[in-house]
Amino acid sequence: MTNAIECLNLTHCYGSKIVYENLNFHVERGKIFGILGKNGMGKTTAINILMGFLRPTAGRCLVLGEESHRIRPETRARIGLLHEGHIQYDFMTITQIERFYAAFYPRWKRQYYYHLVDKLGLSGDHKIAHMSCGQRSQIALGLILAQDPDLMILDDYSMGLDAGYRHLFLDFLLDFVRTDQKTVLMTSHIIQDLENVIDDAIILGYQKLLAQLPVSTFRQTFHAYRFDTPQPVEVLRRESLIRNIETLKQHVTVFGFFGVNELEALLDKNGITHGQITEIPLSFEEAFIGITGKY
Amino acid sequence: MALPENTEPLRPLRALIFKEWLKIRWVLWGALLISLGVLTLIALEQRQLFRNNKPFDVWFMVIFRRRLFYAELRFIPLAIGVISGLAQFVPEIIKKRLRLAFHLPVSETGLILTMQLIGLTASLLTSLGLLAGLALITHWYYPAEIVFSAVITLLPWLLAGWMGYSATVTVLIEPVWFRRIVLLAIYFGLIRFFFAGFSYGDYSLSWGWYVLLTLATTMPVFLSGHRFRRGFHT
Repeated sequence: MTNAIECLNLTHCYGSKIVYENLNFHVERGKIFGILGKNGMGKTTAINILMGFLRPTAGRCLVLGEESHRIRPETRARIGLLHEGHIQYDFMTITQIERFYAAFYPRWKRQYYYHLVDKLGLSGDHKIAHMSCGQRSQIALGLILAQDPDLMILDDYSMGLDAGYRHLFLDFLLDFVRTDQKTVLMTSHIIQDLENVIDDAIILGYQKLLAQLPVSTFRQTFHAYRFDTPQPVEVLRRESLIRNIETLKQHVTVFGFFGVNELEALLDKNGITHGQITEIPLSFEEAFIGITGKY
Repeated sequence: MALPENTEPLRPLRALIFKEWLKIRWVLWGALLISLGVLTLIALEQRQLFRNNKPFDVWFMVIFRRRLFYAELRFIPLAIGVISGLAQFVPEIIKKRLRLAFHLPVSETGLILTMQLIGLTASLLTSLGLLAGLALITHWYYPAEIVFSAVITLLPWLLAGWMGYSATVTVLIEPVWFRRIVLLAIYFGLIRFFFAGFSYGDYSLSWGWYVLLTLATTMPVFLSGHRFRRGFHT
């Protein structure tokens, strides 16, 4: 089996509120996969389903070949899980928490933990409750690395971290993952950090999947064009190629997986007169906002 | 050849005991201090009673007027049980930290059972300390029949401590507020049974049933734990 995670026709609702319907995606072994989306689009819900903390309304998820709500303890030992907010046992000290987790994992590598934690320059009896958010993130990551898991699931690793700690976190993660061919599924709300980290991604929108593709393909094929027109352009929203439209007075910016010729054809088809069309270069974050919308 | 470090089967159990100990150790030291304080008070009161009264008058007060000389102990086991449960599980439900334990490579039922047994054992040890202390004081001043009567009278209060612990844990880890309130009402009603009598040996004929009831009320924690694990919200 080549996929570490497979989600098939996944549907989840909170009461009458649909989070997503018939969502399908898979994570190949050895790849770093991102679940991207604005706040409230169901990223954490997806992770809770994958780890069996929620049972989906319909559909199924397989994690390392097992039903997500019925993962055996032996298989859980192969999954490193980072909870949103780097939650850990903050009543423990640096030394105590390492000893605690070491008892459960047969492949425990304490040197991974201390390699990361020693950089904090704190003594072993320093309580986690007395640490900053950034320091706690290093503890949480160190514990996951020491577990030596085959699959790492990281829920919003960037929450509460400043730029320095975010980069430190990613540096260690990438070194670990690329060396040992691990699989990672991660979410984050700091999109720009992920551009050179994740291989594949899904982008979640309101109750639907906006895109599922390799990040490199997304960067190459997703474009933004700007033109001026005195006419209303709302009619363009019906066109399947166009993913988003932003207007400011007579200035219009359209986003989608198309070239300038296809856009001109669409404008002509809808009888929209326009000025010169200019392509706007997009960073990864701008492309993300382009597809998800600002609101 | 010695086994590799990680193959020792009792390591996870010892690690869990250590984690729970870190959370409840201050409660247990506090319980020990309070128990010692109250037992000392009872011992001093008895000394005073025998100094200021003739043996017949003491006998009349204690036996014929059925005045419990250790009534101060009545709610202490319950308080210890509830506070132990709070100390052990409030840190687990803040930020849903219990999910950390549920991700450990151990069975869900085994995990809940172990955590609960650690709390119940801690509660039992403090209760036994209280029982032994009272028996010792009673034995110092009174005949064996009164010692036996004191133990039988204290037993339902100790069981109430266990039930108070189970109630606290079950209510805390139940994920739905409405169910929490229902569980709280049920446990409150059940615990009241343990304090219905207020005299020597009121439960001497029925304490077996109270033990069974107490054991039965340790079961719902598994249901609440399962509901927490599966993320039930209705």
